[in-house]
Amino acid sequence: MSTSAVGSRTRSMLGRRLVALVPLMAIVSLATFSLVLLIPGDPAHRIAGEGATEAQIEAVRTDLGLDRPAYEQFASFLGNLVQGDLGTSYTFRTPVWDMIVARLPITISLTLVAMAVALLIGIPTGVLAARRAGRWEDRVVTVGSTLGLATPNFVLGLLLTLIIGVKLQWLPATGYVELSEGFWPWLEHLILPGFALGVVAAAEIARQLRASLADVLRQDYVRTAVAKGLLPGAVVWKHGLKNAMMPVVTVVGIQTGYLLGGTAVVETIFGIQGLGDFAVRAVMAGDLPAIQGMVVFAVTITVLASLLVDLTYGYLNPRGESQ
Amino acid sequence: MKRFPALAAAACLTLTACGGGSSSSDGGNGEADPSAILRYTTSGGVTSFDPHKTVASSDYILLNYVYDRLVHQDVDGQPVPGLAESWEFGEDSKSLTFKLRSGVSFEDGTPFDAEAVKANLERALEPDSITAPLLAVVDSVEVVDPSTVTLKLNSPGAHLVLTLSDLSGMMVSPQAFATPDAAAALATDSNGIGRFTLAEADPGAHYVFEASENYWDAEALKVGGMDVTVIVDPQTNLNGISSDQADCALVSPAMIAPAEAIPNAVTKARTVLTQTVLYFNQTKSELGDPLVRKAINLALDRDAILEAAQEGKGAASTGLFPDDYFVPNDSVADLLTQDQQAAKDLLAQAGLADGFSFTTVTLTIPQFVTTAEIVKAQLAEIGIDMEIKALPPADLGVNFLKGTGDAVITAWTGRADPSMLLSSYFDADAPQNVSRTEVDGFDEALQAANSTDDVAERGEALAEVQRLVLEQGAVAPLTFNAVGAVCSERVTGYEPPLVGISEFRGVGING
Repeated sequence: MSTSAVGSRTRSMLGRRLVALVPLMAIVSLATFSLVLLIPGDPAHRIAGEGATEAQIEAVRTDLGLDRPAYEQFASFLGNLVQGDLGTSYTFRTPVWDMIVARLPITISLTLVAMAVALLIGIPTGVLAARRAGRWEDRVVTVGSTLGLATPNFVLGLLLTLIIGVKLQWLPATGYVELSEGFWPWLEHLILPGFALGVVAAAEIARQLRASLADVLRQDYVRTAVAKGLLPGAVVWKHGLKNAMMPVVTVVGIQTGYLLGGTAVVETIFGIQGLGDFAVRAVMAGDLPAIQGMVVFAVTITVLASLLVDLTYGYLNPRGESQ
Repeated sequence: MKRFPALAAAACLTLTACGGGSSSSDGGNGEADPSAILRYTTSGGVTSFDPHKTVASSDYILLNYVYDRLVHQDVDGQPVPGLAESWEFGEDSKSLTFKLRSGVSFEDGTPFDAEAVKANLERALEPDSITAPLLAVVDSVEVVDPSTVTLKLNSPGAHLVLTLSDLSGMMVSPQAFATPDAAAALATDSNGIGRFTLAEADPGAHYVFEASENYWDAEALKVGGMDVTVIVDPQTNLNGISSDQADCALVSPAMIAPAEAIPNAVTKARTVLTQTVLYFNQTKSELGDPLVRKAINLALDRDAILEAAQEGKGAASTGLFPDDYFVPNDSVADLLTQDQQAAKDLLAQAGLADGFSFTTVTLTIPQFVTTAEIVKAQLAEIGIDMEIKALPPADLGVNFLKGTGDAVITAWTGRADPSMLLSSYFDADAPQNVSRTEVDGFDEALQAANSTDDVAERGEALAEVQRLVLEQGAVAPLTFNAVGAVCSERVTGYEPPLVGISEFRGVGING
């Protein structure tokens, strides 16, 4: 198949996926909107405050359109969403989009460091286990990755912050500083939370890579490459790894969603005011627009990550993509 | 002036309040660095920077940095001069005249004078203001001269002095609220007179305050700014001190012992006005009978609750106010001292010798769940079956007021003046009085208490209001909270205030 044909199919696939995003977001929005309607309590009363009079509560209800039928409220929410308006936080009287944008760089930073931890640990250990399949190195990696998968990130986070942050004081136990204040200050605040968040992904990557790479290394073309006299390292990196990376890419895509979810716990433990922390506060405060906005945003990111994974499949395996 | 952080510049309950004139030093011998930034981690942010139109009285905790009040409080909760240098009651406490501080201006340059005070108080009295009910006795505000303003009252108003040390007395620039979009603008940006101005806000998460130039009370301002981070988890708060990521952190009862274990840090906490109570909906179940409510009060061992739920930090309630407060508790001691036999006798008199059951709602916070479990066990000993239903903080109050549960175990935060607490929960017209009932003689007794500004006399009169309330068993006070802060040894001048909200006036950091 020609390069132009592959490109055309990729563009077509991209178009279909983006179009499919529209009904998906509508369904997610409806589900989110319905869920928040089920939250007990009167949002108008909550917003007006416990000491509010009935007149003040009614004024809030009218002001926010909460006295309208649910379908009208949903239509209004959807209309605003299409225009990029996620509403205004009930609690902080600030546009939800602004609050998300303010916290986005923090969570992106944390996710990047977590993913770097995952790849830096997961790929070398996965390769090692695959190359030494059945030997003690393989078993060590298997046990280690199982342990990594089984350890909740909040447990690891608490241990890291108390031992390395508080007891040994090697790295900051809490907080975040912006990249503009320097690379090392930025990074040192993210190492512990990034590690706590990235270990599960590292373990999953190591397991998947070990399985797929061990399989690839048994293929005829690899044996041929070895017979031709290529060095073992070159065989793995040139012939093995690219063909074994598909499951890893899948894991990375899936883990992006998990990492976003995991930030809620890790950011709380490390006192980082990112999107996860924002989501926790929104739920605790019963801040409906903030909850809705956060869910819609998280779903969008997850869907886009999935799309990116599909595009990467096309790069790694053009034949598969064209089929 | 506040600005929101740009995308690349994104920032990194049960609380207490402020002390006015504390200045004791504990942090070594060095000089306070006037350019130092005090990094403080706490548990709650600001819902609005508009003191009169906010819906959350807890906003006071951070608003006091940027808004001075007519009256301030010392660490023991007594009034001291703020933007008013002095005050005086007229005949029968039916008028209150303030002499105002001169030579000060709002952050937008508008001069502070009697006209500004009049405009602020009239705004605070508008029907949609959270502070209007607290100022209900104010009929009108009259400007006597540029530095004198008189409040004409429709009934005695001795309580107004301390009331005006809270949100009600915060002064906003009249220029700021004269604009059409004032409500939206002030919700996110302050414009007042205070030790600090808001420099940056990531709502609910992080606030940066810069010291005001030429602040009128130099002794109260010894740092160049404050960096306040809101952290949900109390242990994370302490970790910030341990690893030098913060200079001071809020501590509540469960965190006091861990805070005291942090090297190179000083923990100061005290029993504050914030208390945990079992508050009844008298319109539901058997709790409508005062004999039953009195029986519940007598069935409780409050010392046991304090030990288990607050690790002994704070105090068991002997009244609606702590023992060292100016309202004495002697007259209600017999109503709150555990006596299970007397409790059983009262139940029998109410025709409930075999007991009954009711539902209590409480917060999904460990301290409150533990308190509820202990109360449940203690009530079981006199045959009462109490079911517990825990709700998130955002839902508890509203749901209880809407009829969920027969009673609630919750925290009543410290109020600047005792009448604010009494009016909020026991006045028939108060929105937070879930039963909409009032104890006989309540209004008269409260009015009598507000007729004198002599501290001792007023304390005795307020004690009488308290006796009326507790004789009817309108509430079962349980424990007083202990709150304060743990600070690095470099921090000087911190003293926890009785009201429970740390203002950090006079707090510095050694260079």
